[in-house]
Amino acid sequence: MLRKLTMHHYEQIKTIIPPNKLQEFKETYISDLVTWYAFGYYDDANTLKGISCTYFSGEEPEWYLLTQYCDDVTDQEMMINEVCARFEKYGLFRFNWVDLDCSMDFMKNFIPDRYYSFKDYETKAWQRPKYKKHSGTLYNSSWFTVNSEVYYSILKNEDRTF
Amino acid sequence: MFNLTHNNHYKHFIDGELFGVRTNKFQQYTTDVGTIDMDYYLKNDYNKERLRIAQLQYNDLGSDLVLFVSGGLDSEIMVRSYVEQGLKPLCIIIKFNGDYNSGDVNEAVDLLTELEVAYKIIDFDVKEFYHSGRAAELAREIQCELLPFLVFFDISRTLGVPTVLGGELLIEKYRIVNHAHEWVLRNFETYEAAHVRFSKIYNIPFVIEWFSYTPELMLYYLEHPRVKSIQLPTSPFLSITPVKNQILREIIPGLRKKSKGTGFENLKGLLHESKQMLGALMPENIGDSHPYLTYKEVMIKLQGTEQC
Repeated sequence: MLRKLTMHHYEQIKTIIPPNKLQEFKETYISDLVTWYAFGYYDDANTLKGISCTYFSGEEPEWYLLTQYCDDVTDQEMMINEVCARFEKYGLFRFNWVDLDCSMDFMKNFIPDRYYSFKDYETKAWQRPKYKKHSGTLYNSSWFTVNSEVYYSILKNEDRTF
Repeated sequence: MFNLTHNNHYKHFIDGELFGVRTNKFQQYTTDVGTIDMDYYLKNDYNKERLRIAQLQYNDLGSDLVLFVSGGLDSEIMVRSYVEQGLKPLCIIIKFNGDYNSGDVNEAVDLLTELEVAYKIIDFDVKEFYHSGRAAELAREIQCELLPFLVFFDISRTLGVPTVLGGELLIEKYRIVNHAHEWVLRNFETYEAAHVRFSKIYNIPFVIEWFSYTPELMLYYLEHPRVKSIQLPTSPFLSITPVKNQILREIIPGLRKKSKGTGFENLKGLLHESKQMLGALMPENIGDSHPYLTYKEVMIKLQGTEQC
C-alpha cells in the first residue's frame, strides 16, 4: 500500500533514510512544498518498507521519479509499480526517471507494460544534463560523479482512459 | 544615483534607458561595462586594486556601511581587502533558523575573529519569509525571483544602512544563434540587476558587484592565464565556477581552506519551488532575452579599443 508521507511519519522515515540525507529529505519532501512529495510503501503488516521520492512539474504534465530508498529489490519494484499506477489515476501519463549506473541497474530494465519507455539522454559524470529544467530536479542542483541516464515513459494509447 | 560600481561603470539598460525598470514584455535588456585607465592598469595588479576598491567603497558609501559575510571565499576576499586597507566596517552574518547554514556561520565567525573585525549575527527564518508571502511581496516590488537575494534585500531594508555583498564575476559558455557557443559575461535581469531597483526604491545603496566594482579589477581577472585557458576548445569546462576558487587562491595567497557551500544545501527543494513560484510574479519575458556581452566584447570594452 502506498501513502503520501508527512511530518507525522518522521519516526518511521528515520528507519529508512540514511542519517546524512535525513535533513535534506525532511526539508524537501515532507515540508510544506507543493511540488515535492515522497510516498511510503507499506507491507501488509503496515511496516514502512521503502520510500519513493517524486517531483511534480508545475509547468508540464509530467512528474519525475527521483531517488528510491528500499533495501529489497522486489519491494522496490512493487513500490514503483504502485507509484506509477497512482499517477495514472491522476491523469498524469508522462514521467521521467533518472538512475545512476552504479547503484540502480534494476531500473534500466524496469519497463511496465503499459508504457512506451525509452532512454531519453545520457549525462556524463560532472556534466550538466541536456535540459536545464532537469538540473534543479532530477539532478538536485548538482553534478553526479558517475555517468547517468534519463528514461522517458509515455502511457500507451490503449491505456489512456480519460 | 548611488555608486553601485565605481562611477557606475557596469550598467544595464531597458530599451536604452539607463537602469530602467521593465514595464512590458517587449523591452530589451542590455548591459555595458566601462573602460580601464591604461596607465594605472599597467602600474598596478589585482591585489592592489582590491584594496583600492575597499577604500573607494568606504568613501562612496560612508563609514556606516555593512558587509554581508557568508563564510565563503568571495566574502573572505572582500573582508580581507578592507582589513588590509586599514578599514574595519561592521560585518553581518546571517544565521538561518534550523541550522541550515551552521557550517558557514562557524567559518565566518572564525574568519572575523582571526581578523579582529566586529560582527553581528542575525537570525533569519527563511521558510517563514517565503511562506508568509513577504518574499513574494518584495519579489514583485523589485522584480527579483531568487530567494537568497531576497533574504539579503529584506535584511538590508531592515538595517537601513549601505550594504556590500561579494558577488562573483561569472563567465560561462553559452549557446548563441545557430547552435554556436560563446563565452559570455552573465548578468541576469531578475537578480543581478535587482540591486539597482532595490537601491532606488528603498534609497539604500546595495553593492552586489564587488568583483566587478572597477573595470581594472575585471580586466586583471579576465586576463589571468587560467581564465583564458578554460576557454580553449580542449577545455572540458562550461563555466568558470569549478575553477574560480583555485584561480582566486593563486592570485591571493594565504586564504583559508573551506568547504564550498551556499547555506541552501538542505533547502534545495524550497529554493527550486520558490524560484518557480516567484518567477510567476515577474513581468512577462523578464530574463528571457539573453543579450550577454561575450568575453571578447567585454575585453574590447574594458581595454577601450572599440574605436580602433
